[in-house]
Amino acid sequence: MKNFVELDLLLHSQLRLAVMSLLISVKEADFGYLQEATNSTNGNLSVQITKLKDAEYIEVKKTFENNYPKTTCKITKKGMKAFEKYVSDIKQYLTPKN
Amino acid sequence: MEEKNITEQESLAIIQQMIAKSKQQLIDRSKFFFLWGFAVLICAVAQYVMLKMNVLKSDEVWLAMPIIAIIHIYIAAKEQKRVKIISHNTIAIGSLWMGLGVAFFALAFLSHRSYVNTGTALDVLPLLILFYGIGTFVTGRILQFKPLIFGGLACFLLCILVTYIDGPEQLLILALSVVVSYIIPGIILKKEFNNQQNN
Repeated sequence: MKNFVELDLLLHSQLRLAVMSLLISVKEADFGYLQEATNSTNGNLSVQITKLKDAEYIEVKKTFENNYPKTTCKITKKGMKAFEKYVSDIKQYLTPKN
Repeated sequence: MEEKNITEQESLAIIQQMIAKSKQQLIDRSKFFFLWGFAVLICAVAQYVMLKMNVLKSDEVWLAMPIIAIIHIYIAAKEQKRVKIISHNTIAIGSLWMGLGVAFFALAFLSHRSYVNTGTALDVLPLLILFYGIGTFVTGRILQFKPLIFGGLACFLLCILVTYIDGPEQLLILALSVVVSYIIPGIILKKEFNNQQNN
């Protein structure tokens, strides 16, 4: 009988996982792109990004461009490690049980 | 998409879907190939014509290159503001061309120093074509874009061929090298970008 590890609850959520999956493959991405790619609302995405930022999984940079605010997100080393661990943990659930 | 619990299968599907989405982000890279391709083509052909007409100081046409570099930096800075995503490929390709850009100017300086020290300018044409080949070949490999890979391979052959040619005709080989490695792949890149944008 296999002992299943507990999944990282911060990542085991639809929108946060989608954001992390997008950020893992790029150097950085802006808020508009993340919203478009995940098809999420402005408010909800902001909340989830703040949770990931508070956990130090991502870095959030706020700048101004042509007088408009621009938010850029980037995955951190800690976030990368957490994501890799999450993927490896999830594999346990997906492989046939002995 | 919203904040909700998911199954392990759904997790995997989200990861796959999002990683695939991040790869779909397209960038029109053709403008830099056109900028440098046409600049080098025009300068090479212009110098060839000037040499044939015995015009003195024909090599001064190449003083246009720093101006092209300034135009490149201006366009790149404008683009940088518009991009929504910076991929690892963009960083790799940018770093490669930045390194080659420095190498091109270093080569021009070395040639000048050689002229000052020995009275003979260093023959930089084979090296220039070799550098074009490295840039386009590696970019083609990163983007998995065959026209650039073939353009790069063609430059590797042309940089050898040019050493068997004497006189102003060498400039025509240089012109040919940018046509095969910059201009033709640039046209195909542009076409592909437009097609994908329309779909």
